[in-house]
Amino acid sequence: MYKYSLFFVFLLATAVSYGQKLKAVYEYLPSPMATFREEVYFQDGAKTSVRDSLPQPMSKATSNGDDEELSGSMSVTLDMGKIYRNIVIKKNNATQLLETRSLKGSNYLVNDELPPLAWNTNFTDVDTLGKHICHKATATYRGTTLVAYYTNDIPVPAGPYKFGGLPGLIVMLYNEGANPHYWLLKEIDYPYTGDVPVNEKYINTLPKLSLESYIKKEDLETEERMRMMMSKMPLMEGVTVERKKVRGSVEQVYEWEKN
Amino acid sequence: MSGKKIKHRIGWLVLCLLPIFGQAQVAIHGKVSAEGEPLGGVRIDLRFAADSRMLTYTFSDGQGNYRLQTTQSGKFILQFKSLGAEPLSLTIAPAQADTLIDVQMRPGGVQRLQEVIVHAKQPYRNGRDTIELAVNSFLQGDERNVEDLLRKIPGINVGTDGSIKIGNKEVEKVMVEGDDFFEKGYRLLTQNMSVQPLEKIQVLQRYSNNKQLKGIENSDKVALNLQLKADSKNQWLGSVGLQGSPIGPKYYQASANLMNFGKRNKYYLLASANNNGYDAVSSINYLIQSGSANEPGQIGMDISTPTLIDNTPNLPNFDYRRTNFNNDKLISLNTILNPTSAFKIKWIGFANPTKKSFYRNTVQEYNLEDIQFTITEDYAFARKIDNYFTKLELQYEPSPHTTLNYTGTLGSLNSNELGTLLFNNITSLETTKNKGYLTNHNLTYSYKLSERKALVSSIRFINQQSPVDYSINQYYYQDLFGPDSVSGVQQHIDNNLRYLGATTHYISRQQNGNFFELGLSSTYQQQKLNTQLRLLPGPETEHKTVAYPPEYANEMTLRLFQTNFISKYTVKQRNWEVTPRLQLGMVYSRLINFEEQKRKNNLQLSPGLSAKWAIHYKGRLETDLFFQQQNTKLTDLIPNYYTTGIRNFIKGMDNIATLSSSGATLLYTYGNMSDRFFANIQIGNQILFDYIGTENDLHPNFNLMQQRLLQDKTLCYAKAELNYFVKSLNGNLRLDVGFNTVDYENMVVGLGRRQIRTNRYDYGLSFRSSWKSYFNMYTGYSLQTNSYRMEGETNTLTNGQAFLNLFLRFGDNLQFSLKNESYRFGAMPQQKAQTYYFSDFSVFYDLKKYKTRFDITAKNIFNTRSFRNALLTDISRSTTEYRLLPRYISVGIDYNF
Repeated sequence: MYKYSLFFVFLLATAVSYGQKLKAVYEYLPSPMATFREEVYFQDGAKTSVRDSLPQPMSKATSNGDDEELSGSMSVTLDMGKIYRNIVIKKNNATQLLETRSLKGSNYLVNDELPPLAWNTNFTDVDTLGKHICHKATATYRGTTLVAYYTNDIPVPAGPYKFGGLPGLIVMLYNEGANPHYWLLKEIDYPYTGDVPVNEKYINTLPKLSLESYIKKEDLETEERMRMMMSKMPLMEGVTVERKKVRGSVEQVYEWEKN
Repeated sequence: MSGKKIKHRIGWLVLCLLPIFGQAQVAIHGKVSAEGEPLGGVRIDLRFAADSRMLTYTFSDGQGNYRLQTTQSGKFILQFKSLGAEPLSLTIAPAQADTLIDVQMRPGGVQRLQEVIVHAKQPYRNGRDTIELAVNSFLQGDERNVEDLLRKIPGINVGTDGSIKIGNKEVEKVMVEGDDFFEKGYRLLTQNMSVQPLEKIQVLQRYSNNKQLKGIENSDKVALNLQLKADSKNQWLGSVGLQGSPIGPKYYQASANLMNFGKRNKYYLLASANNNGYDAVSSINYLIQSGSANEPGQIGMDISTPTLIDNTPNLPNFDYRRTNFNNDKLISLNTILNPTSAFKIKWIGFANPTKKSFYRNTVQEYNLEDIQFTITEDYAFARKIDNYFTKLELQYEPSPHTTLNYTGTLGSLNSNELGTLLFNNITSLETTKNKGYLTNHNLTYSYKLSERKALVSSIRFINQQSPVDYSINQYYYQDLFGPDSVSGVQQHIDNNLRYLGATTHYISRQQNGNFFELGLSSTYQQQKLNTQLRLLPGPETEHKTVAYPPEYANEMTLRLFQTNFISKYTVKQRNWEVTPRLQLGMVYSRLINFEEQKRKNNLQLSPGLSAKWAIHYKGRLETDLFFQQQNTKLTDLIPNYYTTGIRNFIKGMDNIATLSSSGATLLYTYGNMSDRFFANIQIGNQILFDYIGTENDLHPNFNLMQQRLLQDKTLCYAKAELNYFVKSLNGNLRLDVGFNTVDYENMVVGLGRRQIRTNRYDYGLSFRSSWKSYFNMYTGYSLQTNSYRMEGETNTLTNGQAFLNLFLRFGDNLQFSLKNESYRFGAMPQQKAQTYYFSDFSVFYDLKKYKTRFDITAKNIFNTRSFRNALLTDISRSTTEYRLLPRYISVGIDYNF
């Protein structure tokens, strides 16, 4: 319900207000079954990304007219309870970024000391996405490889979620692997005169956690859900197995987990 | 820009320019402003003048400052670009290590951007129903075959029989790189293919067997597709496994499989053998009857000759392997060739020589007013099976919207059964010989009219012969055929089927998800059944002539010509859907018994309605209502008696009838598997307005059973499965409750019609731990009560079952499991109820480095040699004792390559 009680406030970036605001809307596809809308606001090097918590109904262009299936639902992705909006705020003068995350119905303000992305732009690959000529770039990111296509036409180092820092706006991004998460740029609005729909005041009152302690909490919760599921499974012939946790997000391996 | 970031950028730049490291470094910096004000967020990039290749880039900070570094020298282009300012481009050739360039930009450039971007390449656009799972995420290194791997994926359930379910839907097939070998007999693949070559597993939701129906068919089918690593293609892969008992009784299991999956051609070879009770060919039945019946445009899927004599033991809820004294052998060769992208050839061949033996002793007690007797049967069966089967499938796609599919099968299904029998204390030898032949040809033409409409037409021809030769070298039937000396009884059965069917279906799925199907089919079916009982003359008879009792001979033909009109319409909304359906049929039947002909022409009406409704976030309701009319089958019509074994002579009604029934079911589901609370509640009711009942003429040595058309049989059931994860115990507590009641009539000669009510109650309670420790357990108890109430008298039988499974795990390589079971059966009044204990132990050790797994298994530790099961029917009460495989210990090794 917080979603509806959030007030619209201006995002006050740095002291100088010289640039205009850019709004970019991405379609976030964590799986073939779900699409989320992500709005990115960028002004003077400060970025705010706001992702809706509820999957979007399939747009006409992408759907084949099928409605959502009622029966035969899969439990490959675990039901994590009610998910709140995911907001990522990155100020231009800070090395860290702030992110709202939810766990068991509570919202947290998570501080992520994200190491800067080291983009490799040394590719000659060019792709036309929409009407933009896009260049390929890759970066290693938390256990996965990001592949981004950015356009030089829009010289803004922004992108969806926690990503950015390329010579131009990211038009498409995905992580390499069997289960890629896709971000596709859908709309651009510049100069955007509206407000950033984020109540920073509210966000700042949320309990604060470092990303490491949040992830540890979340892993415990995931593990418990896995156990609940395993304990309901029919008996397997022979042996039981200890489950290895698999994260459903782009982020698979964190800095503190690398040994 | 922060200092850290600049440092990082520099670091990156240095890395990029490593090859030419050593050259002088040039730093270009300055300030960007517009109309006297510092301008932040401007991209400054440095390019080679010669080829415009970008060397480095940065963005100006809030004060308009920027700094770039390069180790390159020569002529550069320094570009300044920002939204809202005119781009600026300078050609420079910095000579100093520190070059200061301040620029003034003019307002202009991109003033306004308002764009909607349409991506030509949408991920998942065509594969929205595909869930891709990276095999690596689930591999724990202890899986030797695909089945082991699938067991570890949440949402996928693998049954003890190897069946794979996604949620509670069984998968249609398991494909390799989009090609399918085994259809529903996929166990042969999943239980024998190693996981090494796998890269991804695709879960294909709303799967259509027919490519042209993808996105149109209202499908809730699921299939799996295994994708291989690039380096494993065109390589021979496989596994060998060997298990044997070094001491005591000799039991073994051996298997070898070899596969080569290339882009164009795929080969799969399998050989397996065992004598430890495992049915190596349990999945062969799916290959004989391939295809899916519920698909639009299919016809004649479930048509086959009826089985008239079947001695297979029926032991529900009991591991068949304990009673199966076998010697199974299976060899299978399979190939898929793709000569061109539009043409696919698939060939499957099997040979399956098998021996099975089982032993059972039955005591059957009849206690119906003045019909009171007990019969005893001591059987030892030895069955030799020789099945040969081959299937050819051709698929041709002349255009992207057209598919032509031919499937032809040829099978030779033979079995010889020898039963050594002690029946009512008289010994005899019983033989049953089956010599079956089957050929089945199907041609399907599918045409996608548009994205949402398709036409599927099929034509099928079946020819099947299932002759049986039955004989028994004793004469138990003096009361039936007279006291003459008879040395043996024989029965020959000709059981032939010829079928030709054609159908056309039009399928359309509208934009809003509503679905419409219209079909028309015509079938011609001819079934011939000849049976003849022969009484062989005894040595004392004067005239050595064979007697043929005329009442025990059949020469019948059933011809059916049927035209059906089928229509179905599904209305879909966000949280509910409703599907009304109607089937209208015109049937012309002709039954010929010897020379006598009977005809019946009738109209059949079968309407129905099913609905699904997501009532709330966690709850879902499903319901189905139907009325159905169908004609009696061949086995209901057989005019004269035939024998189905030592005691039973059966005859049908000799009159074609239309059977009407109606029913309703309601299913409520709350939550899902990963919720603390998960429940399924189901209730149902069915009324058979007409049904085939039986009239029994009971004698100690034989039973004459006649099928009768009776009215009004009602069935009601309710069942609930409740799961609750108890946090303090860290495990799932499951409660099962079921109730089933049937009201009907049967007839017994001398007693007339009898009203019967059967009640069945099921209770189950189980607990499965999910502890973090190396030790886990799964335990439970279940109780079933069956009762038959007739003429004010109630017979009840209660069976109980308990199990306790313990698992121990030391690291990833060493695992122990101990499986304990106990069965307690109700018994006949004068018998004592007995409890049977079983315990199996196994230990697995993995030597992952060598792709090898070792195991030691001890089966039937308590060495329980027999097992007595009790059964209650509406005319009798019986107990059957089965002989069991003895205790044995085996040592095994599995190696994958």
